[in-house]
Amino acid sequence: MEEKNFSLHTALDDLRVIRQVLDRTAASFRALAPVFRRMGLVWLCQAVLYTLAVTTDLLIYLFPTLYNYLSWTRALIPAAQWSMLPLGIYLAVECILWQRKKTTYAPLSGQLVTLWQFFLLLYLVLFALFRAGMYWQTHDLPMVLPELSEEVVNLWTGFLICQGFLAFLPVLFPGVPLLITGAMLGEKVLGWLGAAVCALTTFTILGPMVTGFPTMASMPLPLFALDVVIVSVAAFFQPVALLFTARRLGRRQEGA
Amino acid sequence: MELSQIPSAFQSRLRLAVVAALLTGPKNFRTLQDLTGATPGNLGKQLEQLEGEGFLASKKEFVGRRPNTTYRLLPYGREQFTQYVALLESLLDSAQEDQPPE
Repeated sequence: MEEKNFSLHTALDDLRVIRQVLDRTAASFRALAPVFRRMGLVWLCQAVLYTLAVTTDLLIYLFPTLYNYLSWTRALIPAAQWSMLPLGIYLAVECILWQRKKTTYAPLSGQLVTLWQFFLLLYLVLFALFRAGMYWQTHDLPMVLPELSEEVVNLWTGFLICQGFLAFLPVLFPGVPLLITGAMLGEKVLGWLGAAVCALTTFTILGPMVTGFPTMASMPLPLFALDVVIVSVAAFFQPVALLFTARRLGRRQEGA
Repeated sequence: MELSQIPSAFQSRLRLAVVAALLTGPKNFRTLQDLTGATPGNLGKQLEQLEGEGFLASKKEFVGRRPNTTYRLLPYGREQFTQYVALLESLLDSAQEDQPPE
């Protein structure tokens, strides 16, 4: 880029240079799409694994002929129970690595990444806490209780509180970041998706209250099936939200 | 801004590109290099000149063990850039008006 004498052509060239550079910097929202897509795809694997493990028994019960095809998925149950641990570590590392790259993006892109990272890490920490809480409340209880003492009732209450908060977590992630992203970028679809996740999560929390917290064994089959379906759908909230956000960011028409 | 008042900062396309890149927020040396496609030596020289003329400010720090210099556009630089773009637009407008009707 050499020194110049001013003319109409120079003015046009200067405007072209400015436009070119602004186009490159403004396209950083699109550059964020692969990050969301990568996290979404990894999370999707975990959700599929979890759903297979959770729904296998119900499917075999409803359709006994599926036993030959689905019995192997029962072996996935232990892996599904611990699958959030490697996923959580991967997501935390991804967040930390992106924190370093944040300054190379436009301020709004940086804010967007920080927002998602904050809620994602908060989600992971709370998820771990509530799962640990559920475990510590009940791991000493025998499967068949000889008597319903006050101590046992307190432990079960603690267990149910942790379970309730765990069910509430999708509001925190991806519900809230979707709503804020929708407002920040003027993406109504993302805002509505966030609202839908919040509404569905509320439904999953209030559902058991309406039905009086029936145990799995005492549930009528349709209710049990509905419960399994809701749990499975909830497992896909986060990966679908990440993939959908990646799609919307990737398709944004941006420029100077 | 008049044609005779164009700052020397905008006499070079690379310096113009750097100022345009910094409009959307602070950027480090590597990002500016990617955005402008300039060589490190040339970019460093132009950044030094822009800093000397009060268009931008730099901040040196270490990310891990690597040195990282971040550049930020100062209000004076932003103002000069806005005026320069307005001048370019007015030039183009007047050129269009001067054209004979078809």
